[in-house]
Amino acid sequence: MLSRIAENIYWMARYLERAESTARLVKAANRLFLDMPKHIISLSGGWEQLPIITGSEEVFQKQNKQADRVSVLSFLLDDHDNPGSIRASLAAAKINLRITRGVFPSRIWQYLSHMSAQMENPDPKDDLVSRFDAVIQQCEKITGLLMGSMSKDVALDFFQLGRNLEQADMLTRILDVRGVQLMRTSGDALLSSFENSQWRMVLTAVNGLQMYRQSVSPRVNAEPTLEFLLRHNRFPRSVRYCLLNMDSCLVDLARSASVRQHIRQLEEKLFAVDYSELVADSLHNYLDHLQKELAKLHNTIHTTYFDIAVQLPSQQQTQTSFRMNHKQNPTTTMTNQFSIA
Amino acid sequence: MSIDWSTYEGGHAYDELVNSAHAPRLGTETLFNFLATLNQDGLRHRQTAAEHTIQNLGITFTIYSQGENIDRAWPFDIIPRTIPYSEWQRIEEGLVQRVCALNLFIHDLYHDQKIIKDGIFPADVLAKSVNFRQQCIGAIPKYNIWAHICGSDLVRDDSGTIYVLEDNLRVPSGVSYMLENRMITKRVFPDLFHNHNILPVDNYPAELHDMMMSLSPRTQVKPSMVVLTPGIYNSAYFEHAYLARQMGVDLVEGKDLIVGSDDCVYMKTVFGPRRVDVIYRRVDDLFLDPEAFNPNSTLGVNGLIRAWKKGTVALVNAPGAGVADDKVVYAFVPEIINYYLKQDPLIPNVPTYKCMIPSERDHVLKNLDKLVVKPANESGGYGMLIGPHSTQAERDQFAGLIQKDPRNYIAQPTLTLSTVPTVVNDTLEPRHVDLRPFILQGARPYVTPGGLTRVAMRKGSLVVNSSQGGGSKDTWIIQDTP
Repeated sequence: MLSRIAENIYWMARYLERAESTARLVKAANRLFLDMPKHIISLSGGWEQLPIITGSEEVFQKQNKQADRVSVLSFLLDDHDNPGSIRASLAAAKINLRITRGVFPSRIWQYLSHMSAQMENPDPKDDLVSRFDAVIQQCEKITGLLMGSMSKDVALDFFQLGRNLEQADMLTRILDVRGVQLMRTSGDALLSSFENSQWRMVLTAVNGLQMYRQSVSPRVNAEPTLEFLLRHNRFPRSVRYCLLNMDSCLVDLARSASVRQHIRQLEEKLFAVDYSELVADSLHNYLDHLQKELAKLHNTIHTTYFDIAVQLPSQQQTQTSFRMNHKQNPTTTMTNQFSIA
Repeated sequence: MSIDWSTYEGGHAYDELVNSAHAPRLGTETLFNFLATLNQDGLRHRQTAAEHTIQNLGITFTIYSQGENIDRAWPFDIIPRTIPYSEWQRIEEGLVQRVCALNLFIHDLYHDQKIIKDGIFPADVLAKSVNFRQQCIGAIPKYNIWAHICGSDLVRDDSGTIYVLEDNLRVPSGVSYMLENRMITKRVFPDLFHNHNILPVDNYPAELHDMMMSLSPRTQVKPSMVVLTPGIYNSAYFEHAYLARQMGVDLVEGKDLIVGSDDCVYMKTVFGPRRVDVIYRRVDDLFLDPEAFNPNSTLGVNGLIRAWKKGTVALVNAPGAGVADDKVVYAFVPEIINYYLKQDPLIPNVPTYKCMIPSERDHVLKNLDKLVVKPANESGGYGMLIGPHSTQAERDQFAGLIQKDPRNYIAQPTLTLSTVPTVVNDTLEPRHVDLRPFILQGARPYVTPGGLTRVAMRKGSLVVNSSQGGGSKDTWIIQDTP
């Protein structure tokens, strides 16, 4: 498979996952914040956290808007100035798909086109929240289609690599913003009665509440939640599971030694910390470290499979930026536009 | 109410299906009679069914306008254009003859230039050619073939004579639509195929594949071949993807390829670099290699021309082949055929006046109101003067242009293109057509049976370009003798 095709598959998966996880985050926040007393929200953090989690804080600040429900929701959904909006992610995924169309079952084009069309021309009857719902449903449909009909082969491997990396990245971001703030305020007597629902929101944001209840406990507290979301080896969106899943894709791929080595190191680092001893600052440092390692893992994948020019004489390797969230697939920028008679 | 051929009026143009006595032409009786049984609903149903098929299969061409790519559904008319096999055989021979002579001509221009030394082809025409590539001088492509794929546009005038209107030797497009048109027509008129002997066209991808294989520099291993596209924003991207898929080869962009220090071309894959032997490039010469041509090109591959000249990779078509794709060179093709093959052309050129020759120039200047004047290197109908539809000011302007740069202009009489019945408002009306067959030339020649018929959908119009409202038709070569 061409490196460029593999890269586009990988990025399509990341953009789709980015759209889906943003939508899940918004829904969880919406559920929590609506009936949370205002003075609690001002302590534990509210709508202003969402642009931070999705890495689009600067863009949001430039707009000089109050971070309230409607402004944040529409900013994350389809704001034309937000390159991290769901709408922008879907548009980018569509360009990736256009390049890789031959690789996937043909119905995926129909699903993704339908979803983009809904984003560009929404039905006026739909309220904001139901539009996020629709994104989640359509993304689930696409993943279901691919898992149900594609051979476990190179194309699906790169799809899974992108999807799992994006999931792990998003989860560490949510914990870094939301979780750290909750730890910081955990001694506060006012907040303690709300702690359960605050952590529940974190689980809901990654669709993990039900699985947590089944395998851990009906009560939701900081330490077991961290344990579940970071180290559980069966929950499909936990960081550990994402790493395991990536490794299983790499087993079949050629030249995967350095990437797999990196994954093993990341797993070790994941277990290097005792969660019962964590306080806000040490949790932040820990998550920050994991995020940097995930970014490096992306770079290793990139140089191993996508930017292989380095392995031929007289070629320069292009540097990739460090912060993952701001990284965009180069092929989705509109260049090379001219036509031939 | 069904189709009544007695009211079908083609004017003085030659109609490909119906003769002037309202009777079917050779070999077309079955089609003619079948159409006569269709009423308006029957026609409309079939046309709608065809359009649905096109939409469902995503057969598109891309228009780039105002910062956006618009995928348009491929415009298609269900009534096929017919040519009797006995006539086609002669056309096929003529096309092979033409491409053979053009390849000898191109090779000569990049080597000894005998045709110039012998005084047949003027040196200053070559000197002013915009498609001659100095970088290609002395190159020896396999079999000395430069133009491996040629799309020659054929037209028929009111006398019934078929002419070559132009030869496209750079990156001719349209062949995927020829294949799709046949596929759609089979769905719409299955019975007609059953009752006719129509030559199949779907062998083209296999023929293209074999032709490319025959060019591989490595004969010991199974060659690795690719289609090189400028990318998804190109108007013919559908075709690039289609041909790659049909041949089972990779569709690559310039950035996927790299020339190693061994001057071999590699493609970047997840398994590591893989050697490439044959490249069907759909990127124009000047964008192929920033090292050799346009240094700003982001579509090309650094060092590609170096690799090609060294013979480690085959390029289809060879760079520089476009030198014969020039309207002034076109005017010399009868002499070129004569010079290299010692034969007369089997298909005539449209009579062409070369403005560089004083007596012909005088004739052109005196008859600007009757002629079509074309610049040497424009395509898509740009920069032309259509005499009968021009104003005095336009004619004066062209008279000035011709006198200033006579080498850059040719003139031809205004031809009345032949017509084919076409669905217009649920009935059939004559519309003007041309025909683009595709000729392959590797170890051996191959001509598509038929080609892409393009049709001007507006009444009386001669503009067949799909970007300007032209449509297309399936083309049937009908076996007329048992």
